[in-house]
Amino acid sequence: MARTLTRLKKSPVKAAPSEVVSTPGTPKLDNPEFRPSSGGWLARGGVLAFVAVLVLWLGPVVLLGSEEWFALSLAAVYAIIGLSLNVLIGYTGTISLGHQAFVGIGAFASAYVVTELEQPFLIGVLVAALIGVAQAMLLGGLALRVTGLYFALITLSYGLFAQDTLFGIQSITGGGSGREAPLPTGPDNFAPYYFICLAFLAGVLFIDWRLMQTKGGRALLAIRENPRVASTFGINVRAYTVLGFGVAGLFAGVGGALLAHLNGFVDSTEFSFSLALVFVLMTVVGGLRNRTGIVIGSAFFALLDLLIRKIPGLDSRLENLDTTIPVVLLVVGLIVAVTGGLKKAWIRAGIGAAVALLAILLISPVEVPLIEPQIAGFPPLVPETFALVVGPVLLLATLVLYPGGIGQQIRPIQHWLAGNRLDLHVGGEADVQITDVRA
Amino acid sequence: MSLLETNSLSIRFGGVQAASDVSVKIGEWEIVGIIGPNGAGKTTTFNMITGFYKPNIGRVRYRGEDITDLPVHKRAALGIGRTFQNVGLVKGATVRDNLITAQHLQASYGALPAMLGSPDAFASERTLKAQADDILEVLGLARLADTRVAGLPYGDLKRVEVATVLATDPDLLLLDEPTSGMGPEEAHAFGDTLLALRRDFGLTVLMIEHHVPLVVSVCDYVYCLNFGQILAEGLPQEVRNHPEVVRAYLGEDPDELENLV
Amino acid sequence: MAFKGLLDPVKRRLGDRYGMTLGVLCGAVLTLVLFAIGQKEALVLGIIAGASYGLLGLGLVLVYKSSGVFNFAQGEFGTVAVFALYLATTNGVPYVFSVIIALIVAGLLGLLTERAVIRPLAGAPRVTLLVATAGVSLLCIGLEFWIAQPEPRQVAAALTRNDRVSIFGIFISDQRLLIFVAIAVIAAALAYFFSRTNLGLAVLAASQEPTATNLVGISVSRISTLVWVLAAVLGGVAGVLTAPLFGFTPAFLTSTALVPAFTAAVIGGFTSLPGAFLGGVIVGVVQAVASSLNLFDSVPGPQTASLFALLVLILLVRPQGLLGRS
Repeated sequence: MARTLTRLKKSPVKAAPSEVVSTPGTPKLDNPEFRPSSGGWLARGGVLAFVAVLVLWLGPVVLLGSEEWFALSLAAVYAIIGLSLNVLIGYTGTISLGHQAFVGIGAFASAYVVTELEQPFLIGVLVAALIGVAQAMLLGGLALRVTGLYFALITLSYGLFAQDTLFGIQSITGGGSGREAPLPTGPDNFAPYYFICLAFLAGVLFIDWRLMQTKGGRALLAIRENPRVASTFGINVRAYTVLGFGVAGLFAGVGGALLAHLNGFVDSTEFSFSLALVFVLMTVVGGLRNRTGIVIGSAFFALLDLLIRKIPGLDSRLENLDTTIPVVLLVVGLIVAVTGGLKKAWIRAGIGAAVALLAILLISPVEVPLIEPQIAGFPPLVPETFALVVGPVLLLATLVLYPGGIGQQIRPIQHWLAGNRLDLHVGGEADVQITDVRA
Repeated sequence: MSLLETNSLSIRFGGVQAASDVSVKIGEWEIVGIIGPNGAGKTTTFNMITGFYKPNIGRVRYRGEDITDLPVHKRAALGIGRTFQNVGLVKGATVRDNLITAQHLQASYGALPAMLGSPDAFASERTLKAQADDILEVLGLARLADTRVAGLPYGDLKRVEVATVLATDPDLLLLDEPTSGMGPEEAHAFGDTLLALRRDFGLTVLMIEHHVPLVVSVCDYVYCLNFGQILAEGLPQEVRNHPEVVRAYLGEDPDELENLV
Repeated sequence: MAFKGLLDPVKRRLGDRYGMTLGVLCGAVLTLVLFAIGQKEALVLGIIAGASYGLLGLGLVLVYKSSGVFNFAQGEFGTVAVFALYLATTNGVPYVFSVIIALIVAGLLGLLTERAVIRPLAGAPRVTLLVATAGVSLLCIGLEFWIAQPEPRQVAAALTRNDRVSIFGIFISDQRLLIFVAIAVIAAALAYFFSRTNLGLAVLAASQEPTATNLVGISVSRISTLVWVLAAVLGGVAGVLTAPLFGFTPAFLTSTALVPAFTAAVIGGFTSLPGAFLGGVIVGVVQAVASSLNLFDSVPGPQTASLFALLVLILLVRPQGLLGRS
């Protein structure tokens, strides 16, 4: 029953008028006296407009020469998936190591609906979204009984179970041979599909934004931190936890459907445990509870292969480097192991040096000495898998050094864009830890 | 009819009888104190009243209705608010956000339509924010509105917690050691604040307290608990001078009475 | 649940041994049932597979008791050891030395993880640590893919005869027998280590009360290092023993044995070492039976399905595990 603060109106103190609605996690007008000048607003507007132009035209058409619509669509889809995992880890405070199941269920659902039931693409996405919500809420119900690290184990097991069993059901998923999922814009016509994916991304961002601006999102954040206190605020902890899962499932289902049609084909082998880790990776590196950071982080991981291809000569360099990189890593690792625990400052310095060295080796015209011999029994290194190594290194660096990820780094910019004075120190570490999930 | 009434609440954890036969009655607009040494079962009683524990025996009645089986959030909806011994706030959020979150039940829109952009939510959010700022103003905390709770000094934390629980619009307020960590002067000032809040917000208060002078000056009725049972009850002065109460706090020596003042 | 109270007098009599007795009784009943329905091959093979799950599970419980973290890299400690073994043997190093090298590599990996990842994150929330170990796992997987590509490879077994021993009429290869014997010996040695030796007791003390332990002069950080190295070596042993059975690929232990190992540890309540070992055996048998029975013909992947069901069941019904304390 809604109750209003009727008694307060009898108080002699007048209410202070204010216009801005504030939300946890986003930058606010912290200094009521500071208002940007019209020039300031113009600058901020200009930056936002530039970003829009970059995403919609400059990037895809000018910088990438209209060749990379597939990769860009993948980036948008990964952004949606990252946002979905963020709802679980960042807002609801539940770690999910089986998120590939959420995405895969959406993918197969849409593929099935479009190819078997012969419905249009949008119906496919809708069904995928609904099924995503349903299975997520079931898992959410389980989360009410089993919490913390043990629930993480359950999600891990669930992900494997989904890949082996659920995605193996012949009639729905086509068993070992998978299922087709045709591109709605026509075969290989990825350019318009990119904009379709962007539209869905915008929709997901909108829902996420509204969620966090209203009582649902606040309830989630309160439950994540302190469920007992949340219940004294009148928050039904169980209901909102399941709601959080539902929203995550919604986004994941949509992401899965878009992914299916992008690839043209869905098959259970792509939904492995490693994929789940990559999802966690991109969400954490992106920065929990920071939508922009997560979009950037997820897009980065989706585009990593492309980036490697685009840096001139990087391809062949990686092939030439052969065993050098792992050997260097090994040597550094041994030194670290032998000399004892590292202070964070040392780790930062070490990583900085390693990055610089790597950059020089890869990009500069310096001749790279090979370390002979090649590892007996193994083929030469392949550039594509370089991404598999870079990712986890970034994750570890994020966790140890910059827990807020990319989000933490861009917070000053977001703070400025929201209409505040530019403050480079906004967003301390305390802000952005992955909070203990009631373990 | 009393606002809140508990009948013979008893609860056992493993081998320990944490509370037995606790019966309290609180009339509307009263300020009732619960005192007793540590481990006496005071917070346990609070937990049973608010719904965090289910008693093995006994019922809790609020405005005549049996609420013993209601979950915590439903009791909050009826107007029962509480504070916690180690400050119950969402530490990662700002002060204002805590108050807005606490007004959860006053957000008059559905959570789901709000997510999809329903216009009701916008108007309601503005109201909630204005109300939050009002309460902060009344308690002199307006300057802290945008500060993250995690960084606040202890005294401010306690006051923010009071503001937050007021935001839940309670009729019955359960305060768990609101003056812990305060010196005698601060505690006394808190007493004045409490009386003013009762008057301005129409509150009934049940308070666990250790500052006996505060209890004596502000409470209309006092219960003393020890070993999970009610040792004595009555007017503050009576309870304070009750020999059993003195013995419970201080051991056997009645000459230590002066230290209670 | 009305019948919960019925078992109370029994519980009181047995005290701490309640879980263990329950486990043994269940095990005996299960064994009889399996024999009756003709599943003895699944039983025997399952026990052996389960022994290696149990070994990994031991490593998990050790690390949890010491650092309070679920170590997602446990599977990779084993896989990396197997890669080292392969490298050594294909480069002509004699088998025994190759195994030693492999175990040293595993130990170094554990050391490195503890020093570079766990220590800097000492005060962080447990979830951060969990994600960090997942990161280590992914890094190892990445390096493995980079170096070796997803091709399956074969590593030589320590023992190659297949027909020397038979249990209940089923022939067990020497390698499988070695697995079981080696693991049982290790498990017993660990049990002795933790209950009778000073160092073992120090490890237990450090996990329960690090401050007090430091105050009596035991270096908790050295113990933490020791535990991680030990856990990694255990993982290496599990890998080296079992890889010859089916061949290996990058991340093979993590995808096939990590969840069973965690389930094993959960059955042990994450506190009991013998519990984790027993849990591993239970998991192995359940998986083997599930896949050989194939009750629901149309259910693909019966191993992962049965594992998921087992894990959920235990966590819902008896979260402290069969042998853990309440």
